Amino acid sequence: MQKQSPKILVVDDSATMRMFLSMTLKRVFADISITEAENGADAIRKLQTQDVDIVLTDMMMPEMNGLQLIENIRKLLNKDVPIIVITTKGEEKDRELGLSLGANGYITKPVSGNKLKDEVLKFLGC
Amino acid sequence: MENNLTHLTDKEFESLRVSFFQQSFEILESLSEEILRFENNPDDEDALKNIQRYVHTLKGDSASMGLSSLTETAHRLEDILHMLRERSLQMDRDAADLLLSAVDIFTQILKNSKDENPSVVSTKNLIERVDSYLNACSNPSSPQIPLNPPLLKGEIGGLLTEYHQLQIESALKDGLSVYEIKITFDAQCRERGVGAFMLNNQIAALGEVIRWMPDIEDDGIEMTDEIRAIFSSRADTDIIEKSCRMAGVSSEVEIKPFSFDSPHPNPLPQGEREYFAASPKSSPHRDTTLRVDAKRIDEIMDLVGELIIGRSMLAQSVYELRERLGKEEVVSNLENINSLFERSLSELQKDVMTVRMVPIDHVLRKFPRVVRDLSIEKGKEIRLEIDGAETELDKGIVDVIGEPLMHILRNSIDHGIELPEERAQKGKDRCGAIKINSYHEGGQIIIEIGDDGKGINIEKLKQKAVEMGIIKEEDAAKMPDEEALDLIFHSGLTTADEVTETSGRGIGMDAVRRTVEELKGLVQVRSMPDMGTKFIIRLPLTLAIIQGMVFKAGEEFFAIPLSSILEIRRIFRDEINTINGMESLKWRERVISLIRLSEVIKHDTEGNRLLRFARNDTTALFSPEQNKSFVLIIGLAEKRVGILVDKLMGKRELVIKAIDNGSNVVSGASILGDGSIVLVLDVLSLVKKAIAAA
Amino acid sequence: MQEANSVLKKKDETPYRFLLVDDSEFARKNIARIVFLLGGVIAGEAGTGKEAIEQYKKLRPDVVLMDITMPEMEGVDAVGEIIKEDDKATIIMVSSLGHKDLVKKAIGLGAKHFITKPVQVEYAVKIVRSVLEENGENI
Repeated sequence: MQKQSPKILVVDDSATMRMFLSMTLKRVFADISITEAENGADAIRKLQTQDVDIVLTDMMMPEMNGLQLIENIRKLLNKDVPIIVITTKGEEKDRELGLSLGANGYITKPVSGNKLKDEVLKFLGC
Repeated sequence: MENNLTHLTDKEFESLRVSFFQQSFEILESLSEEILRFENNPDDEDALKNIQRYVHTLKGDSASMGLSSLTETAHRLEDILHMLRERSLQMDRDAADLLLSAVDIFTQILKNSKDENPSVVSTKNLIERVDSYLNACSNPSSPQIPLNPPLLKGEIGGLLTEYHQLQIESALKDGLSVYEIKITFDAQCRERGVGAFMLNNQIAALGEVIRWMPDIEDDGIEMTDEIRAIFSSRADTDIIEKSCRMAGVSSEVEIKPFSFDSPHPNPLPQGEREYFAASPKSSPHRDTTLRVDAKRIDEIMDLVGELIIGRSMLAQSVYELRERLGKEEVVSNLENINSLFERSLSELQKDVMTVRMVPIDHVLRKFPRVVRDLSIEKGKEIRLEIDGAETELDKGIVDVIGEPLMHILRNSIDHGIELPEERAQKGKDRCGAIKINSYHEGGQIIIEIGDDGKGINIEKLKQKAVEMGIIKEEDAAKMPDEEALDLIFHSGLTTADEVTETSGRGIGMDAVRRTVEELKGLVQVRSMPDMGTKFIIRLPLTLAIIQGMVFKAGEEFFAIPLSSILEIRRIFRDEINTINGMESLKWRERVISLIRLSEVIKHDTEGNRLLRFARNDTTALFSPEQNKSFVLIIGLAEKRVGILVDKLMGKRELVIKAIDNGSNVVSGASILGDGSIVLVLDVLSLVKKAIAAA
Repeated sequence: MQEANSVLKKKDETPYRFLLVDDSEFARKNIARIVFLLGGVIAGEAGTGKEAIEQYKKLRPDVVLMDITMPEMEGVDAVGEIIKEDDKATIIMVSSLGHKDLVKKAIGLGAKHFITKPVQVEYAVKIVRSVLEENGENI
């Protein structure tokens, strides 16, 4: 069984993308709580005050990008929360770098409901 | 666009779609700004970074929304951006052209998709251009410039803009000392804004405050415990310190020499600092931003309008009670309540209006691109200077004013600024200048667009007007320049000749005039041969509330928007000349028609029914005991008309209520404090009627 | 510097003379506490800006404690008039919260400082004292 009310942090500078991911996640998991952050720095601030089950992050963002976010979560906050990076075509190198820095999984845009569900479920301790 | 995201409901998809288009169009605007910035300064790493990020977002979002043509093209564009970043490509006009064409194509794809226009925007041409550009540049003959980005100056909590840095640098260059002053407020000090105001007065006498952090005019200052100033001065620190010590206001003062990299308090070790560098207090603010449908704000504004009317009726009743009952306690209480309402309501009104206000930058930000493209096309060199882009005005106005401004701008580029050679021959700078300045003045916003080009050829303009039968030849000769210039707003004159032809883009100066007038504003033009031409547009700050001049004519109260009034004059009866039954007045070297509202409204059959006084139009202007009267000079493009007024009631803020009256001289109504109705006149049709009557 | 709660005297050893201006009698009583704590004397009181000007001309007090909003003539306008009469006048504004702009205006016209209502007496004393000491220095 999946955990009770999983908490997910969605990090993306595009409001549309955040909305899309939130909607999709809410469709897939009936009982889910989502926090949104608009860049890495914002995400770090939110992670300092709340625990989440999964971090879902875009790569290219202002202020603090996805790679820096991964590094900061692991080194600065010392958290082992699962991190899934979302990349787009052409960002294969970033994806590899992200994984080497400690990200746990990845999905590519365009994100389909099923792919997202599968990837998130992997880390929800079913 | 169809909902191909099967896991979402149609309603969810619709809100996603709305967000996507809104955000994408905003991104495209910022994108072209950044491209121009980058073109102007190829060392601007930030601009390039932003460009990359915008393209990235467009690519990702469009992929999710199923707009694959946009995704693909954005992806190809990233190749160019990557090479620019690696410095294996140099940013130049060609590269900028390519990037800007991509922006145009993106915009088109998005527009078609938004309007559900099935026509396909071809990206083939663009992609080919990208390919051939990349091929041409990947020629390894040019050695690669090593990637070594210049060190960026640290920001103080992100609060020092480039402008401030410049000020600091120039102060240091002038041999001044620059300090960072930290002042802690006395814990008991309330009204810290006033305290800061006093501190500012004190130290401003010793030097120049480059920046207060936070801004001391900001209401947020009441919540802060300390303020900091970047301050340049020749005075010694102890003198500065002393002037910062103010009993009851400051408790601690700390002064140290300013340094670009030291100040901001950052608990993080050096290594992490850069990740957090630009994430200071400003960010949490963004979390509290809401997007609200403009319609809802209009509804609130409407309700506030009702409340203001109700409040002024209450005030009138309280006043009458006071007259009847004298110093009764209940009356005093009512008066207090009334003034409480008055204060809160005017705050509320101000707040709601502020919500509707947007900076004019929303319109102006498109202009640099236009100037760039058009001047290249016309072989001209033009520098665009924009001042006051932060000036705010009502969103409703911003939405419509763009087109007329753009028209004036094109006109300046097309016909105002000369070719570089011609300018050189005249001894002018080869590069022409177009200046746009906007600012607030007396409850209005003024927008000026001026160029330093050849000016309008007045003789040619007159000649054209004569040819077209707009004016008579004999009148043309004696027509003063100011009046002649206004001829360019005449509808017949805008298309035919080079003098006034406007790039043939469909709208002429008469359309500019029309739009401005519909917004209850006024457009004027000044021009000097070889010095240039300047258009001045005056607009009300908002459409829902106007600053109006209220006056009495006959038995009725009327109002005219202040922005349409050029002058209020007191005249004597013998100043009025009657020619062919038309009354006229000499005003600033020209003769203007005078109109009596009763006469005009007689011709307005619908309005007739509405206005009591039209029935007995023997309005006693200039009665034997009253030899003087007021005339409101109103302007409408080249027309100037005077309105005779019985009694001036003064300037009022009027909340306009639309009335469905079928009359076109009356554009709305408002209610005065005593409950009497004021008819707000529509200047445009009023003048038309007056002319028709003549 | 003198002790915070010591009595403040002019150079000629006479006490400072205050003019209290407020349309509320209660408020004037409250402000009077500041005067007593400083060892000053109340030279006169006024309930409107107009009265304040008349009293000022008549009494030439050392300090005016002036409410910012009053009937007939606002405190701000009275400040302007008094300063016109005597550019060395020491006026301290007393204002309830929310009159920021009026207070700034008064200070721009020449008022020396401000105290917010409800008056915290100790704090107010500190302010009045500092203004008087500052004056002493400048003489």
